[in-house]
Amino acid sequence: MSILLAVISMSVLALLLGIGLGYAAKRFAVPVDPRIEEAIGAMPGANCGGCGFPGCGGLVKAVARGETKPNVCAPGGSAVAKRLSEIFGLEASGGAPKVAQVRCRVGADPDWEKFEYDHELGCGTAMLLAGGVGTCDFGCVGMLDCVKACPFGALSKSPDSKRPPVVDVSRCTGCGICVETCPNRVIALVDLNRQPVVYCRSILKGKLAKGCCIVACIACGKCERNCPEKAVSMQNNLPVIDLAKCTRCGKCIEGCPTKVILMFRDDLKTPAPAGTAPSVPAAS
Amino acid sequence: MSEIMLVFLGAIFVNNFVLSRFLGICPFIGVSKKIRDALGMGAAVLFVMILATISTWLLQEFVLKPLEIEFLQTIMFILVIAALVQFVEIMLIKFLPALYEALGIYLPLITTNCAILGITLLNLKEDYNLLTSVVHAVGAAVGFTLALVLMAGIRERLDLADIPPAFNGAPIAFITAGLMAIAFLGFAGMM
Repeated sequence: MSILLAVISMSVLALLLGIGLGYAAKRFAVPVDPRIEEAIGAMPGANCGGCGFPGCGGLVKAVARGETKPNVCAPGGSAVAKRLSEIFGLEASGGAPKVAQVRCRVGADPDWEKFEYDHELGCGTAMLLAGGVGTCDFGCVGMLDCVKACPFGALSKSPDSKRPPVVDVSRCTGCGICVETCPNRVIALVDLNRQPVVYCRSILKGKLAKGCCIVACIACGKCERNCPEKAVSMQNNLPVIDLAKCTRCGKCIEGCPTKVILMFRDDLKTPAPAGTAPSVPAAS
Repeated sequence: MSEIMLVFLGAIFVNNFVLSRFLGICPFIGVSKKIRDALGMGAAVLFVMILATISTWLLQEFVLKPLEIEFLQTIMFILVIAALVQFVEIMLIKFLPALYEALGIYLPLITTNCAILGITLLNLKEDYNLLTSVVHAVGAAVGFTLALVLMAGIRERLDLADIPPAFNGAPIAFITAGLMAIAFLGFAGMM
């Protein structure tokens, strides 16, 4: 008798609760924007936070409210930007995908150290002490903080131990975590196309710069003078290249006496010059 | 009146759910990294404990006792609490979205936590009436929140402390929890 009562009461209770919940879910349903669910499905789902919003869902909601442009997702790149634009009916704004580049040509070089240091402690710790171990206060520290920080394994120790870490462009998603990690801000995100990149961050000039590093920009200004398009300007003793004006002629690279300007990805195609196809996002 | 007060304070300090009864240990370790999160969890626990206490007390009094099937307590309580919290969640999204956002993920997370089931079963074991049961639940939730916030405060400092690698992370948290439990044992003499 007791077992029968137990089974019946249990079933009745479960049935009542089930009906009640089902009814409540229908009766009090809050309509959710179907575009948001679709858009979340289109995101990479890494929830890296590189866009500055709490996860992929946060970004989608911000795009839906019109608070941000759909092209801020670095790991998703132009594919996700395009998909989001379609879903929310915004104008597509592609632009080349971004990848990280270590803008320095010397990492941890024992010949260029101010004092002996335990290399296992990492860049951030090393920079706290007397402006770092290396003689150059601006370049790559070479203790691989960025390699440890990269969630995609795109950065690795260079085969030549004196060089900075190398970026595997096929793995780099452009999330920018390494940019934040590097205490000297040596790493920057650059467009994945053929372009000259200045591989030095030293703001020292001439002899001073040379005294700290073998491949430092000495701020001679030759690149500025050589550029036929006036795309190069010296700022803080470093050349700044205006990529909108740059025709990728390579004159700045030829002239550089210390070879700090290099053509990034000579195998890639040169983007169309500014004006014909804007690489900047169209205003939405 | 004094009995109710005693139940309330006893639930907070002497029989602290986390540190004396060892109920709700998983949120105690899991959601005690930041004080903010700990407070959110505490609020959700308070909310669910009161709801669970009222519903299960009524269920016990008007269904289980008359039918003489008290042995179904555990399974029925879980069922009722889970359904009730689900129902409340639906209502919150509809009518109080702000509160829903504030409680966030914690609300469904603690639905079937042992602390929640524990409070309902303890109320019946102690033969409390409805009012005393609710006061006991509030006290238990406050005690739970107190333990969580204390733990979170300590762990926020532990993050900055120089801890031997072998103890870093969970081990030092467990040791801390143990020391806190010993400290709360001091309240046992007050009753």
